[in-house]
Amino acid sequence: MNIVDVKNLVKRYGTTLALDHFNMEIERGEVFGLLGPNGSGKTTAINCILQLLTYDKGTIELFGEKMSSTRYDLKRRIGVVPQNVAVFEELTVRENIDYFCGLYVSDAAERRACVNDAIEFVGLQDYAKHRPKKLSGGLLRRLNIACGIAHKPELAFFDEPTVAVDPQSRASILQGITEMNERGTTVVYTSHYMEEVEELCNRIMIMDKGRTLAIGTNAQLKIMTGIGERIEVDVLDLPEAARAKLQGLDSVQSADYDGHVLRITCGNGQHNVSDVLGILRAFDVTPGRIWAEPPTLNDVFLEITGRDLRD
Amino acid sequence: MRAFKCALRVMRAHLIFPIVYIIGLSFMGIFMAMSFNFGQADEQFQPERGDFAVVDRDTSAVSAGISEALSAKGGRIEVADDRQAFQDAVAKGSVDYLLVVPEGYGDAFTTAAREGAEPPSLDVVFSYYSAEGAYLDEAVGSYLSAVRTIAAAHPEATLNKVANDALEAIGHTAHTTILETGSSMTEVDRFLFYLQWSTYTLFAGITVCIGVLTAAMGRTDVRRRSLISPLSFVSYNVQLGLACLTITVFAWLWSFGIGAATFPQAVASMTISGIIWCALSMFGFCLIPLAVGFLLGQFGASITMSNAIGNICGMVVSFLGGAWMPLDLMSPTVLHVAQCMPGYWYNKACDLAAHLSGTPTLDAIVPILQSVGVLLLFTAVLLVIALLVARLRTRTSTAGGNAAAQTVIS
Repeated sequence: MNIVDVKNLVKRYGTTLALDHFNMEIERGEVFGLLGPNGSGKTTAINCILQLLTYDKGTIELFGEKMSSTRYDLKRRIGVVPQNVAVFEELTVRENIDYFCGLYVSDAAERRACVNDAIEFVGLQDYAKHRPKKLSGGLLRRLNIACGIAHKPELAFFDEPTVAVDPQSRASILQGITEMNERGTTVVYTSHYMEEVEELCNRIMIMDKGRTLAIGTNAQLKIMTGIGERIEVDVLDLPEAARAKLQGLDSVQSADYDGHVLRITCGNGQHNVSDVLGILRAFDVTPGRIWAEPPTLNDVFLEITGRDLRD
Repeated sequence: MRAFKCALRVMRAHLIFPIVYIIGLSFMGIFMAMSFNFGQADEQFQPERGDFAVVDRDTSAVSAGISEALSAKGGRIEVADDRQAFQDAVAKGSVDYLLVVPEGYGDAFTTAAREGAEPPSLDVVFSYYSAEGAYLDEAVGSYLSAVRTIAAAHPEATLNKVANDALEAIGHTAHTTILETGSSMTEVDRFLFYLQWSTYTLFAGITVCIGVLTAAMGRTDVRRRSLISPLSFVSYNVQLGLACLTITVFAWLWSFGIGAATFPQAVASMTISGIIWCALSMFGFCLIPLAVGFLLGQFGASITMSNAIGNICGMVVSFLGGAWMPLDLMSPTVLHVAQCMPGYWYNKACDLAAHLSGTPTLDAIVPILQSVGVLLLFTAVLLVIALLVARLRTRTSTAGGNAAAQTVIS
């Protein structure tokens, strides 16, 4: 059963079409990455799912049931970590987590345990009595996460939770999300940091202009776009015939030589490096250092959404 | 009641505002009301007396008469006939009035009076420290005026006779007594003054506290987080409203309670219904700053803005309610403006309630009810505006995170 099932969602802001028959299916236990350039409709989609925004057309089902703004039983099973730190500056770390957890968990003893777990989970034990004003950016982000997941939701939305966070805190946050997922929480994760999504998510959706452009695992997306590895070889003297032979390989998209380095961009292929080395050997060219870099999600993202600057 | 408790915790973090505005300003009102001492006229009238010195170089009957006229108004200090001594006497404050009567002054003065000429002048020095010198100079002026009149009227009279008759003439003074008038302050009036002053305390205090609280609770990100949760929009707002009401009730009970405790005689002299109506009028008034604070919160006013608006509006409302000066002394135009302000109606209700006597009749209660009704109307109008602003605000880009986002209000 899909834990999130969005079908043909249409959302307009005046004449602007923010979501254009948008579809999304997320299975229980997944860490689902939602990628898209600025203004692509990610936040609108999430806000519609959370019923913060009305929508013009389509259906949204969570946990197999139709979602509406008054389905408090469904809302109770959801956790949200918003992009901006949304906490009370007047309350301490513990009071903040306790308040937001209290909106979901009414039993005091259970809530106390949840709050303690959340504080421990994000490593804020030493700051429990501090007010947010006294916390660093990374600690604030961790508090923001704790407020969103203290009630142990079945489905958690993370909207760019690692913006402006130092590498240590980021590693800690990603580790925490992985642990949450291992404990059974389904995670929907949006971020502009491709390496995070690549590392964290089982499945990734790339969207733009309110539409789904691609969806699949990291590997599936790379195959889908036909992007292969990039190979660089230090070569002192490369005959033009050898370069032309390389260019002629089925899996090679381009082969450029600048007098020192041979740069080859490959498409999908099983034996790209050995094919390249075979041709070089055939022309008695002795290669120096060889780099072979697999394609990244960033390459896939740019390939799918284009390289034009966005607002 | 999570949002309610949270709101009180938020207020606890801003405890300085209720302490300064509600508690501090109410004490200020108490001290001001207690400091009024009108109507305590159990002593005889005592005219002010200054110290004077007369350097008599004339030694005529007129100069002696001047000294005697001054003696009736003050105490004589001997000062040597020396410029240095004059300066010392005045500069050190040992005399309030120093008079030098030049040689031949008496004769010259009466001659001038009889001939209708300009009288000769006296050398006079006043103290810098008080107005008593001017008061003593008035006595000299009165005496010389009498001398001038008698001398002109009786050209044949000797200088001694003119001087003595003049002294006798100015000896006839009006009898002075202090009468208790209707304007004297009673304990009830003191209590009423305190209630009037409370318009400032309550308006500034409640506006600031509620403004700060609703702004903190209404911060877009935090509010959205609450809206995502199973807590309904209505429940959230009801709890926030309850928290605002709790703060208002605290301000009301504190202000009325401390006033009643400080002026127990006033409360004892009022009827039970009078006390109740005074308290209810105050509560009715308290709802207005509650609505103003709520409105400020919907506008997302900062703490500084809430403080500024609370104070300025508090001063205007209390001034136009008659807390700073009686409404009777204001011009008709200002009075018309005052009638458009809640302070006027609150004070009217309190005044009527405080002077209720015996078993209150419907005729006596209706005007109070009308005034309280006006207060409630003010509240209703402000709350409607605040709710409209709240609704509009939730539809703005700041509330939705996306430009022109529409927030669902369930």
